[in-house]
Amino acid sequence: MEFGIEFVPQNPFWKTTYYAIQAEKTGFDSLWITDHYNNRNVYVSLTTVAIYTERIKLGPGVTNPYLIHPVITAQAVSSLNEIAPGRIVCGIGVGDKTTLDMLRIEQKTPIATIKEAVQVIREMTSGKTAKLDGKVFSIKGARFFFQVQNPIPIFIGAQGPKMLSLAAQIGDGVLINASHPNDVKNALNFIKEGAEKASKKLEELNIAAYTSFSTSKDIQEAIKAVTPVVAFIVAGAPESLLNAHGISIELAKEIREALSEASWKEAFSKVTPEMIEAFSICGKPETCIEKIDALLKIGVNQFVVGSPIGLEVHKSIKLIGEEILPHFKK
Amino acid sequence: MELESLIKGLSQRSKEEILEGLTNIVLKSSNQLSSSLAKSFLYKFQKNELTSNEGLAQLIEISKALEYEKTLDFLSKKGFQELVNFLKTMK
Repeated sequence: MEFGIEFVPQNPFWKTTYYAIQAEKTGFDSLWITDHYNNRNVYVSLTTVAIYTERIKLGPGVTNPYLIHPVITAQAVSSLNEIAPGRIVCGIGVGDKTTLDMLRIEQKTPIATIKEAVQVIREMTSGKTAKLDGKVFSIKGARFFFQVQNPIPIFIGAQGPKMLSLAAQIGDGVLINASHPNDVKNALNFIKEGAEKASKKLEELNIAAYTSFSTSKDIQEAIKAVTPVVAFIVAGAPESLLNAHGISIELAKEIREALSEASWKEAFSKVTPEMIEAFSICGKPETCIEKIDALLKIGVNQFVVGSPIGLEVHKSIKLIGEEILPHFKK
Repeated sequence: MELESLIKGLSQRSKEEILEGLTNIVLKSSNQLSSSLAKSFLYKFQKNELTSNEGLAQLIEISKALEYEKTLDFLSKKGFQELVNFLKTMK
């Protein structure tokens, strides 16, 4: 079982890097940094982290091909690979709808977009010339004037059935955007389907539950930290998912409206314990261990501690290192 | 007397107590840290040198630069009066 951790570069570079060093010392295997234009740049953050770490794998988690052209993503991860050879991973997905909406970018033809972007990144990071006359990207012939020393694994962030299946077909790994065992179980069915289509063995794939995670010895602290994250997840969740967890569509709509008006207090006050249960792993360390264990039994082989991690990130990383990781890394 | 000399006289337990308390203050601070101090802090953390006399002296300097009152208050509450007096003379 591998453990990953996600950082949102919303703090000055040295704080994110401090947490990254701490994560490496604690025993995490990989770290992912989110890619949103309104936070610090993902590759600047990853470069700094790469310089101050020695072992941990790292990459964007996840970038998107709507805002960042795949040749630029290929260039960025290949350049990073020179700083941290063999430690770079590339996470890609359709991106965050709310953030892309701000730029009036539509997430058109997501399956074709990801499929073509992965093809371009794969070819370029393998030292080949990318040529493509696709539905989305048209590339006459793009190659680097430098060599990439080793292959860079591509992980695809996915939630819906088609994307999960595609991720298994063309990815080296799948980042399942879910925290609840039922959602992860459903996702695995589509991953299996995709793996079969590509004649891949499921064991060949890195399958990660990319969760919203919050832990503390004080349950109220853990809840306080995770509530804003859950509010955004609920606001962006499709009705089918809300129904599956018995969450009121009306309440979700109210949260969405409050968030769109930047009425944070109002939005967060509408988050219920059921929403937290459905869309996060939140609690004292012993509760988190049980929940991670449940996901392991379903069939994931990587667990990602996603944001917020805790109210005070460094204290939660310490707690995870002392009480959660030892349970799984005996 | 230099800050490092004062730290040298502290027990290992006291040093760890200061390290934990001041790390909390530094990471919670929303004030700006200079890029050069930040890089030096990260380097020492990566190399496990924050517990050395030199590393702890730097952490105290950083904490003092970011949060003067909180740093002195913490050290005072924990009974490190000699350090507090020294830092006051440095202002």
